[in-house]
Amino acid sequence: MDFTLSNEQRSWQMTARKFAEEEIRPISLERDEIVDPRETFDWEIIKKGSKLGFRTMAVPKEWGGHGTDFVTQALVMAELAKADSAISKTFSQCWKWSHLIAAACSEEQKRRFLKPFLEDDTFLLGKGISEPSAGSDNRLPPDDPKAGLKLRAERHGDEWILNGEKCFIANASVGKLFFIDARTDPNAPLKQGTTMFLVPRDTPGFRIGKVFNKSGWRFYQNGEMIFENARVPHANVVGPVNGSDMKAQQAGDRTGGDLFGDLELAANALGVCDDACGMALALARTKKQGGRVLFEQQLVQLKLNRMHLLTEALRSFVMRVAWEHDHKVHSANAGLAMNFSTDVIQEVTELNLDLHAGAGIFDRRADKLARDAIIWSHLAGDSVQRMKATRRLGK
Amino acid sequence: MPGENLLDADSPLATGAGRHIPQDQALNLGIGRAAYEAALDYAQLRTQGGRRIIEHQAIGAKLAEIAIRLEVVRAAIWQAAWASDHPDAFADRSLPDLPLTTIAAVFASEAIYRAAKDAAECFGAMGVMRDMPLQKYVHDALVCLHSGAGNSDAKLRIAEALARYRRPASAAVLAAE
Repeated sequence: MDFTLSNEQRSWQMTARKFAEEEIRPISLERDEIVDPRETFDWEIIKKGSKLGFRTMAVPKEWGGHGTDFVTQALVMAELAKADSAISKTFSQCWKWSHLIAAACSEEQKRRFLKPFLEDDTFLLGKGISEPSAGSDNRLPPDDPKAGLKLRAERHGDEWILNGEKCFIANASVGKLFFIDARTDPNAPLKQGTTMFLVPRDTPGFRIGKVFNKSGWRFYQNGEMIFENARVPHANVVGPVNGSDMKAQQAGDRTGGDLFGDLELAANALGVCDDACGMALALARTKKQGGRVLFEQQLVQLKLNRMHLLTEALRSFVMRVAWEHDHKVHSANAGLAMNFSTDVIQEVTELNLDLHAGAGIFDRRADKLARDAIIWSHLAGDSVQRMKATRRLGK
Repeated sequence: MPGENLLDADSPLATGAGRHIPQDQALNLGIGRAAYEAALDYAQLRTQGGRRIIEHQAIGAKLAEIAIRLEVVRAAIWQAAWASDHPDAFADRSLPDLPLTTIAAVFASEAIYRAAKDAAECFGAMGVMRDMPLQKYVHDALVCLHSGAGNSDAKLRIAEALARYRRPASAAVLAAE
């Protein structure tokens, strides 16, 4: 397997590295430490990144985007995440749903929604699945129709009326367009009774509730969505009615799972690990104890060894999965890489914090990285996400 | 400073390094217990996959592991506490000649950090929300991992006690500070 980057891939990586170091890193800690979760967001960084293509890079060229491949996307996510994991995620969240628009929306829908998305630097995308009583049930749906999301959509002529609520929805408070999963047949199991709708922010009867106050990924906005007789035109139904499971079926996904999301979290984790390794190495080379730099201590060497071997193993796995996605290779690797990234990002950031604390230093950034890493537990590495990846092996 | 304030070189306070009352360790255990009790309650309330989540193998085994860690930590702390009340038990070899409190501290902090993370995971996304206590337990348990001079240093102190030697490096650090 050839891991050599093309000139185009290298160019995206270098642009991302420069933007991350010069624009993202300087605001990362200050944004993380803002107490009000609604105030952590910064439109300026989004606009600047958007002008460089980091918001729209996953849109196919024929629709006016950059049409980057998965390898490029993985490289850019990691570079941006090295400066701030949550800001990187805000950009890549738009790629995730760009992939979905390209794969699942009709030509008319693409015209209606991709054009404004491409033209507006502040146009962010999101998708609403989770609800207060439906988290794991959406990921591994049981056959019982009562299990899973409950947001209801009923058809009245050319409109659908949506009632219910969503929670933890990414980009909820800042997004302009959302994919919303709603139950259109409450008597069928989740996968056979759910339809996906395109819901613009200004839809009547639709509003955003609170923004969740997380311990990590503070910049990233996760909010409540409230639907009170929200009216969505039938033209905004994505794919067939009662057929919302677009990612794995009609959308042409042959990669064995979520086309992009699994790779996304693994690549983001890689960037955070690169940052932690860099911090730990710099500390070990400069900080002295008893007249000697920390690097000379055996236990410090063993910790640095562990951090780097895990990070490099993750890099290999991420690049392999990106390459497999580009070559439409069917495997469970994306899910496994995502699970693995949870173990890696948590251990590596904990070791970085440990090295700093051992040297008598409370480092705010080392603390931030460890808090950001905990987010992976429920997104990428809980037992449901691990069993989901395993089931792909069993197929 | 009057000479009588000098610690007797043979007093338990001076010789009993690593054998003090395991106060911080009890505090650490309390963090783990709070996380465990919250997760156990929630696992019996929350239903996914058609059952209370505690009835799923994955969550049941996770809670069992948390309970195992807490019980073994508790035993280590109680032994260290009993030992600090009974210094003679070291002399008559009822207890191993080891810094039991330091040993309990290292084991407790590592086991409880892991337990707190596992407990938070049972809550899904709610495990990282600041209006819920789980993320605080995880963070507090993380702080315990680094309390004092940290676990790496504690392990080296245990190593010194095992072989009754003094590290040249630590002597140099003491001299420098």
